[in-house]
Amino acid sequence: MKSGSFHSKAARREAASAYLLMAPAILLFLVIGLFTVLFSIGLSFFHMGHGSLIANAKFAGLDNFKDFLLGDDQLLSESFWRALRNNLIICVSVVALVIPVSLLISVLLQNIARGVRLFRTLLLLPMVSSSVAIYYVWTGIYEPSGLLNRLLQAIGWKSAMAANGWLGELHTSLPAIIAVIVWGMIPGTMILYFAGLQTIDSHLYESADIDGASFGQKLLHITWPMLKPITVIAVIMSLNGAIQIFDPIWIMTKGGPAGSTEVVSVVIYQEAFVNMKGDLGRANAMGWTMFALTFVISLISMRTLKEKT
Amino acid sequence: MKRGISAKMISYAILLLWSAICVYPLLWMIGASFKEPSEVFAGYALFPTGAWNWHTYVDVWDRMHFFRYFVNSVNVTFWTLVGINLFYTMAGFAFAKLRFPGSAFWFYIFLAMMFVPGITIMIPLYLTENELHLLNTHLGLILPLVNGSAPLAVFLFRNYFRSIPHEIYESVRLDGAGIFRTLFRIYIPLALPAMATITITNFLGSWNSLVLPMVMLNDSKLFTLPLAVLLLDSGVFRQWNVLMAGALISIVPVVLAFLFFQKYYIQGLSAGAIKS
Amino acid sequence: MKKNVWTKRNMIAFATAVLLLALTACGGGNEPGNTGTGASPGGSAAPKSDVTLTLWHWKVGFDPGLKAVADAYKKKTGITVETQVTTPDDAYTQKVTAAATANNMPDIYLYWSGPTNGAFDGRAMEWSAELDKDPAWKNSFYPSALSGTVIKQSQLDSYAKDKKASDWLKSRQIGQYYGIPIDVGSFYTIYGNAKLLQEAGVPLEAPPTVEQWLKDMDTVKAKTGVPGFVFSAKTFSVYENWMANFQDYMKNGPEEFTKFMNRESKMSDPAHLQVAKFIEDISRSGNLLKGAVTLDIDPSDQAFAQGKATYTLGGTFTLSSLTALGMKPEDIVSFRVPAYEGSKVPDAKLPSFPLVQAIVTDNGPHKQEAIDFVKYLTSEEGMTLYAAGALDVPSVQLKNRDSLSPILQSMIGSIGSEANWYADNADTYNKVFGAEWNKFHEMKQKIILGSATAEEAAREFDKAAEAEKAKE
Repeated sequence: MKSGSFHSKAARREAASAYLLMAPAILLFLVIGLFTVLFSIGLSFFHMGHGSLIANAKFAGLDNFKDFLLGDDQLLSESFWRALRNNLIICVSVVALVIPVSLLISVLLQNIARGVRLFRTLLLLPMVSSSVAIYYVWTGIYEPSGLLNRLLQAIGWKSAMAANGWLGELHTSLPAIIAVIVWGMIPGTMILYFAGLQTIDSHLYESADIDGASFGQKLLHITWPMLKPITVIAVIMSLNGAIQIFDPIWIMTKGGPAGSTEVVSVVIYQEAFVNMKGDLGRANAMGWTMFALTFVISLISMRTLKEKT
Repeated sequence: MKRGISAKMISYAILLLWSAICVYPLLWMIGASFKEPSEVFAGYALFPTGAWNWHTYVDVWDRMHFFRYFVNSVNVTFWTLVGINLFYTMAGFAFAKLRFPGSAFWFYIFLAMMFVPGITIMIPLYLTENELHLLNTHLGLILPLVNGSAPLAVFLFRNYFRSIPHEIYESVRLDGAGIFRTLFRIYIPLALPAMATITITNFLGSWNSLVLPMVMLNDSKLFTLPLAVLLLDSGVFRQWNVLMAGALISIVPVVLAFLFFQKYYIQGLSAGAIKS
Repeated sequence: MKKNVWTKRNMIAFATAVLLLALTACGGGNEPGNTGTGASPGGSAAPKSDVTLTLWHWKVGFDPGLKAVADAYKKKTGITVETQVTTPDDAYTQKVTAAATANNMPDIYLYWSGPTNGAFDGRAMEWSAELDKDPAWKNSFYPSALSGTVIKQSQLDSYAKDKKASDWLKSRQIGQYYGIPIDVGSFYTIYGNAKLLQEAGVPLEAPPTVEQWLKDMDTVKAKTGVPGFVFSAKTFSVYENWMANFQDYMKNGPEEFTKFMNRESKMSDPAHLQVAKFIEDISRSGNLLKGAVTLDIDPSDQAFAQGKATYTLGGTFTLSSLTALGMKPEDIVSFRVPAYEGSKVPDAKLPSFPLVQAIVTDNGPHKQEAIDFVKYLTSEEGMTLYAAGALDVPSVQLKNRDSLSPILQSMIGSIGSEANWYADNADTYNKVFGAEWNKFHEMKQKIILGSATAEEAAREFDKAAEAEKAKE
């Protein structure tokens, strides 16, 4: 009993220290984070027209959610579901492209003898220069007479050219956008993998070499399992990025042509700030639906990836 | 041996190709900033075919009042980084080394913030800052920027502190050092690579932050560099050369910081990200 | 106990650090910004005032004009007016909406023109008493400028029908003004490349009908290989609100046009099918520049200026962009959007309407000074300074335009001064921003890309309009 009370006293002191250490973080979270978030969630149950005062917001119950989820507002609902489908396509392709390409590049980078630093710097540049301006550059590349079409023409693949530009055809616009998103996301993931590779014990590879393992075998049986925790993080971050994606689409296509690149955050933005007939409450309702979805998808992918280990 | 060389060559070829794809847009920006406005989208050449138009940079430098906006950006970014590194090393340490009720709860709360939809909370955030009299101040940018970095910072610092052998913690504690002393004297000095990683990641986010200052700041004397670049967008039509020159000037500090901290950044990532 | 000492010391260090952080950051935030406190050395003649007014707007191009007016005003009254620009449009909307919600508005702000636009449930002051007090001032405006700003019965009807309209909106009265127009302008203008037209032997005069205009495009295309038309098909409302609604009004007259806008007539009806058909025609004939669906307004102007298309669609404000892009005024022809053959009102005058209005915050600390400044801004003197600096057509009929640049003078000259049915019915033609028109925008892009016909687009539009009507 004696030792128990001593233990609990120490435990209490440890807990007090812990909360003292976390006090600034928690305080900031409560004031800036939690209050704002609760406010925004609350707003999703109200109607608040463009330019209306918060005091004049009208209680809407679940109407806002019904509007876009169940089709009470037919047009908004159509956009929402189409946007969600586009978001899912982006999610799947981003993960399917970013992960293997980043892994490949970082492994190549690890394996070359000279110029590692130079290449690493060059490959990280998209991360540093990822400003709004970059999306305008991509817009220029995709133009009808832009770099991509000219390259195809030069190598004689005229049939593959996009007459209205790569952002201007219904079937090429989304892939073109995805390419830009992937391009922007690879450096971050690549550097994660690159950092991870540094921690793998080189003895593992040496003994595999002695056993006569091929490059592919080593990748599959040593590198990939050792990097699993990184893959989990990379997948979750890419998924989150892909679901919340906004800037490149808003700048490059505004969701067009004919809604082919519309994503949920674009629908939300239009509803909240562009459409004069928009409803801030509805925009928040869509935002939190998106939050719930991202959360669930991340949990599922975390579980599945961890189980597979 | 022969096979080894050809594999290397393939590696280099792929890396070169990918590097070209990575660098092209930046080269385009540089090229465009030296062109005449009408030439930017007209020709096929990456760089000006005629004379290089240095005048744009001079013009932008004067019009941007570069120094003032630079100081503002430094002020915001510096205090954001101080806040992040101070607050979340402490929190990360608590999560990694101390046992306390609610530990898991708070950890997941911080992580879940990562998924909060940025677009919808802007107006609620504005209302909050209005109540706290933070509008039109740099502190009103710093606090949300610090809070927004919490998910990644808490996660990374927790993992980093966990990766440090527990024996160190035990021996320091047995010597009679308090928790705060252990943290500030032993752990924080060891955490420099992790701090470099967090610093670089958030340097980018805070330096390039656009929508937040746009909504929260009114007084142009308080504007940060990205807002200044937007002001170059003259109403009549978009002068691409001017915009690109402005954008390039504003990212120079980021690139320099990046080149400088790169090594530590990767070290910090290696230790912080992997052991979860 | 040593432990506790350390803990305490660290606590103090930490608290100091946080305090320092807060102080420094705040210090950074509160730089001496209020320089407006009458620091005019030696200016003994200049009146002094401690008042500083804040003016928000979103047009970088307008800023020199507004600043010129503010400078002149300071010399006159000693009152400082600080202009603060936020771009682009949607960021400005976001900012003003947030400020209105928090009841945190500047003394004066500019907003897109229209009755109750930017009034934010009474944040804005109501001007009718001020206007009635000063008839000379009221009469100096273009009639269309004021008639596009005042509340009319039709607005009240649409507020009453709108489920989401606030109680404040529903209780407005006819004759109220919530903003003062500072400029006027028009859309519905076609610009043509005179060099290409001459090369193809097409007359430079305005084509009498759309049908003839399409033939002209074919001629130029056959002779020079240059496609006929470019407009920003990426941007919602450029075709719909700058061209299609006005053409439908000319074709069908006020009554049928109103029915169409009110979702009582269908686009599939031959009377209105031309809205979609025109897009189909120019796309199928190859007269629409390839990639028009990816072009924003600026790049579309740019494509025209580079001679990639014979005609472009714009407004009175487009001319200055085109000249800024390097086109010579003599190489540009311009005419009102042509009417279809057999139109009921083919001679409709180019309507003008206010584009931007100045709003004074009702409960601001310096409301009277703000009113005075807006009155000065819209005086002959203020408007002349503004027009010259902003290259914008003022909302007031200037008596003396000599000091203005020739291009601005010609822009002012092209503005119809008299009010007309179309300009008076802003709430009718503005229905083109309804959700069914957003659907049409999408279908328009499909027509252009060859994955829908005009008839299909019209049917989709009708379905959407019906769904919207059911909600009324």
